Amino acid sequence: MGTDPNAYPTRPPPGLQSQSALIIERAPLPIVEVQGAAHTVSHVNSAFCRLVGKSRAKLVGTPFATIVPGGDKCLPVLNQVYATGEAATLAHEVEAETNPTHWLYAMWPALDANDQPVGVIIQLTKTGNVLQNAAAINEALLISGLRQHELAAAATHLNVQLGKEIVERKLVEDALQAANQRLGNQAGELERLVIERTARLRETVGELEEFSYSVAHDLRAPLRGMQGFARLLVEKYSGRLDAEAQSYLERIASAAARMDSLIRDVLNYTQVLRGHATLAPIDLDRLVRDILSIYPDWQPPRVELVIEGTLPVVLGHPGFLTQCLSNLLSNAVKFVAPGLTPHVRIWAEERAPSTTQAGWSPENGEVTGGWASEGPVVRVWIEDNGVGIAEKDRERVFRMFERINSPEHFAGTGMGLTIVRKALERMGGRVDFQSAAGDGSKFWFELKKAPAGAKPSAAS
Amino acid sequence: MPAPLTILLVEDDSGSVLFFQNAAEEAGITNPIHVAEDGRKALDYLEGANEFADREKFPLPGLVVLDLRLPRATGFEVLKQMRANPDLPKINVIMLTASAAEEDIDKAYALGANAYLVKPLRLEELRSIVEAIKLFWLTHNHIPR
Repeated sequence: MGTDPNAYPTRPPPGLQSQSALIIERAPLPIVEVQGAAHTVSHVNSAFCRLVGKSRAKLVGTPFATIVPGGDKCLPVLNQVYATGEAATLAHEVEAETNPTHWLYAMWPALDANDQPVGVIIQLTKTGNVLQNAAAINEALLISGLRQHELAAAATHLNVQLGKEIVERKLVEDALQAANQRLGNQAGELERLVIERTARLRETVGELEEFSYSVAHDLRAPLRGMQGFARLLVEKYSGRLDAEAQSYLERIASAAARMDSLIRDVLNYTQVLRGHATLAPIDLDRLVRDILSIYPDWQPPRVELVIEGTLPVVLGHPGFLTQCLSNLLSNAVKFVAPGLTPHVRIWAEERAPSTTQAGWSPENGEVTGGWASEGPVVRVWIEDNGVGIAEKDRERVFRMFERINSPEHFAGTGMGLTIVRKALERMGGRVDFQSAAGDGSKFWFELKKAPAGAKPSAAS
Repeated sequence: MPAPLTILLVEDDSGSVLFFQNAAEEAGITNPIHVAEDGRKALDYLEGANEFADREKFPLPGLVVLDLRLPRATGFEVLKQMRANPDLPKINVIMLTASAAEEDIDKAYALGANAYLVKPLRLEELRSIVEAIKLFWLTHNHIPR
């Protein structure tokens, strides 16, 4: 409680009396005007009549203190406003039968033309049922509490969700870390594997070398036996053997010799595969004819084999070249449809070196006779009437142990062309073919032509 | 004139033994030739062990012709044990083997071989080799006693 000069105008504009009566009458708030020191009601508005439940006639002319409950409590403040002309407010509680109510009064003076207070205008507010308000407030509080609970529940739910998400994220993080760890481990594992495999490969190569020495020793021992005993037979029993028997003994000896040189060539091959290949001029014509003469199966009428013209002298390695020609000719004769006589045609042509052909690599070894990358190349063709090679098998035929034909039809190790290609690579040459399935094959290989006047070595 | 020195031929292949004996006969070698068919027997012979205890019957050889690939003990093992045995005099050892592998040659000399010969395919070549052995190792060469 207290006075606030700004809350209520102390000086209404002139003519307010008549005009204010109308405004007051229509105001939704209960307002009453009292006059004189006895505070006799001079005017009430409709809202006031409704508030106190009395008619205007019964109210006007009666003292203010009697028309409202606890009105006497207002008298001191009313007197003060009337005496001083200062506005004031007042609140007091009325003990009603059911609920206590609060009455709020705003009072301001009614002034005459000389600004002298002639009465007081009172505006009342009955703040009805406080308990009901409290209940409403309680309800609001309860609702807000419930809402808060809902919010809290939602928050809790969110928290749980978040917690779950954090756990999940942590799991993912852990998994990621584990994966990274595994990746790291795998890198290490790979490295270890490479080292291990390399070691195993070396071991295998070592075993292979050991194997080839075993072959050299164990396969050649019986050959010496064949050679030696054939020789002893010829020497000691010559008088008792006819020419045919003697020729058979010679063939045993020469077959053994041929076998022995083949084994030696294979050994040389595996050795030179790892080391250096020394090239020398080789009389290809003589070499091919020598090889052909060794295989009785390649003679007519079983095989029709033609060498066109005289094959030139090339730069090569005798062992390698024997191997290449033996394998290529053997394939030409072998891969023929059953019942068909193999027709093989061999010829050579001189060519300018291919621009795509790699030069002689120094790591392959020394070359005799001043051979260089320049100069003509000899391409040797071996044409057959065999089963041919499908285009899809083009690369496979050169791969180690790859066999494109059924072993039921054609025996073999799948090494032949692998050896041919490697041997030719080592001699700075190359090999390829033209073929179609069922249409025969034309294999060719290229080597450097030997310089003019080069003396060919004994190739076989 | 001292008794002709004994030759110990260490060779498992009977054909090779026969060819060597034939070549020795053709070359006119009269020295006794004893044969050990595996590496173990060769060492027993050299050490006078087991069946070879009688030095009258099995005199210490003056020359060993040694194959490399042998049953029970390889030529390298025989050579190694021979050279490691302080009771054995320095006996000349000629390797006669099918292997011409450089590493075998190096290893044989490293273990104390005195010569390294590669078995030829033809009997005629073996005869010329055995003739050379007779001339060098059995005629002109002096051995420690």
